[in-house]
Amino acid sequence: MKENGFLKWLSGSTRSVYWHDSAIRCEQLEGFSNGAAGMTTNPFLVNATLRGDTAFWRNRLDHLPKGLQGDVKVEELVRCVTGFYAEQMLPIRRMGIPGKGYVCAQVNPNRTGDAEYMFEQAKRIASWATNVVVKLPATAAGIEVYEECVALGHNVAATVSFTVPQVLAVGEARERGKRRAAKNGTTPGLGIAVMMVGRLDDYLRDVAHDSRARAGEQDIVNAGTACMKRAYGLFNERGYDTFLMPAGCRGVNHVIDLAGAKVIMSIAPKIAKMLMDVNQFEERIDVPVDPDVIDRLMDMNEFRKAYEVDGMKPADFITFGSSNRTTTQFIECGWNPLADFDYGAGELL
Amino acid sequence: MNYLEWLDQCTSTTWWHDSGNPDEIALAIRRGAKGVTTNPVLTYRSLQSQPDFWLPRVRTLRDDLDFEERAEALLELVATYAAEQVYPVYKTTKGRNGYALGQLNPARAGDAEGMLLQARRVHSWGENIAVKLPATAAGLDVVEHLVEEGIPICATINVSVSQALAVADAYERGKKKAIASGSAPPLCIVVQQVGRLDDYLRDVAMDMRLDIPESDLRMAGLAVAKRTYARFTQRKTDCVIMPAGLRGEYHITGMAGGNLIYTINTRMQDMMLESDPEQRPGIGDPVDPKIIDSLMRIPEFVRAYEPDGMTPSEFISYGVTQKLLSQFYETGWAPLETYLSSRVSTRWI
Repeated sequence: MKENGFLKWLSGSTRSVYWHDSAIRCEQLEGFSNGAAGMTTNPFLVNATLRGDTAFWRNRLDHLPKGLQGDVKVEELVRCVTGFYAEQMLPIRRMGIPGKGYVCAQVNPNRTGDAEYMFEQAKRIASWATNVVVKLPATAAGIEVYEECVALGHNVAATVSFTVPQVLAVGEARERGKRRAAKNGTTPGLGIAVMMVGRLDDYLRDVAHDSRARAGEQDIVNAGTACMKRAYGLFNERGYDTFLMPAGCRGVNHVIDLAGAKVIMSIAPKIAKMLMDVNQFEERIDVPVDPDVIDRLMDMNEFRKAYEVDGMKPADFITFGSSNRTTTQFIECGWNPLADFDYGAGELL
Repeated sequence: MNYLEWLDQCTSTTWWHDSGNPDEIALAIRRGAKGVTTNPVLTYRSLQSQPDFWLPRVRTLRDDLDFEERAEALLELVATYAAEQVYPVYKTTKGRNGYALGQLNPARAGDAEGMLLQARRVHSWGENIAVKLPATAAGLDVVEHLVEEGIPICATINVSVSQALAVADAYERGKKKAIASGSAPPLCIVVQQVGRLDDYLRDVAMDMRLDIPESDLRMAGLAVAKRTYARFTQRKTDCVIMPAGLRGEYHITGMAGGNLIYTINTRMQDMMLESDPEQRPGIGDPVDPKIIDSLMRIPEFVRAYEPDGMTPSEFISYGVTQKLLSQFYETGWAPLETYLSSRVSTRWI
């Protein structure tokens, strides 16, 4: 296994925590040898490991009740994978270091507006293990459930989140939830606000082309980073203890420019591999994005929605272009294929 | 006379078949279909559902095609097959009907230059193949160019009145130039995605806790399509509406008799033949104003329903647009890029 100098430095010598963004076993070993201290999964990643490594999961799959269908079946398949990794993470969790030793499990992406459904599902997922983090969408409904979960002491992450107003709403929800938890004598769990920096860039790139905007590629690849740096400053200013989580990175720039921040970085194996060639060990979180870049990006209405503190109201979150694109991908490439996955014995591939 | 025959023979409405499956196309033509609509998803499904039919043809493709070229070549196989089946209709109706469709890469929805080049290639597949492209600002530019060049088009990923009117405007601009240069203006179909809008608004309304009854939500797409139809009639445009994404009988009976084209898949054809509704034109029936009032409480419905609900630069960022583009790409175009190929996709998830 190759030494990844950058990731070892990032995870060992800075305040940044590194989580591994995959559920594939062979990739996991490499991630943890480089200092990963947690795992993010989503329906796509669960589907990928169940289909690509069926023999390994066979024993756990055989313990599932036969004939499960639809959403119930998918939830059990997610549990099968997440539960395994939660056990693996437990020794790290027992060390008691904030932000270390967890694994994420996401609620049904088909129900991003349905608070009641998501709350019931979140409670079930939280019961799987003490170090499972329930991933909810950063919609108005999802953030409502987020607060409820904080109040109950569950670990929660708000995902399908790309913008400053979304993560601020999540930070506020945690503060409210913590006050309620304190009243009931409940200890709050881990709180995460994901910011999908590369996915925002991808979306804005298409929008910029479509409207023939002034922003060029060098501006676009800094859009998510700019939002992240602004959110990080605001979280520190307001004293939120919710961990920001940069995710959906598309290049090493996203990791390099945020290095040193007290955040949890979700890094996919593809990015980890690209980081092997990086020798610049420098904390760059406080280096601002070039104001000219921001200036050009601000021509775009969709960037202003993402960057401005009041760029969107909570009711707008579910309508944001990136949210719809990402949710659809989670459904089509994760949840739906899992619903079609034949987990019965005799299907060994 | 069954309902589909009545629709075809006794009203101004025609209907086309909605899939690329050879057996289903043959059945639909016997039932009176006058054209075939496909998209990347239906193309991929056709290859999978009748592999014995397609395999010998797929094997003739070169293996060194790049990702986009491979997807395009597979779309060409299915589109040209479908076009041959309805060519007699194309001849007898003098180009009013009898088309198959070739859809452009959904990942290029904001890329006018790339779409224009791809569109010319698609048109070269056959004279009765119409180019299917998105109703984004970039797509509108391409519509104008193609109409000027006399290339038949079908504007899709259209869920709002303002998008449909913008397509009609672009068509009229292109038509003027075509006439000035002595060429005949081509067919222009404007898809109106009825069911997809309903699905989106259902999620948004629930997220906002607006408590809008399902009986109102399911009329949203139909209300938008009827309003577009009224505007088109008033303007005497040559553009023809194609309601698509049909979810139930009411989507067909609700606009039956109009000067429009339905696209109906085999399952819906079976449903109409089975339920055999009253053979009565529903195009003149307005949607209950109380239902419109109820739907107008959803800001996203207002954007879809009002003729000036969105500006062209907002089309690409509208929630349903992103959902549809993502679905077309993830479950259609992307799998086609690597279908039976030795190449592994490099796309991000």
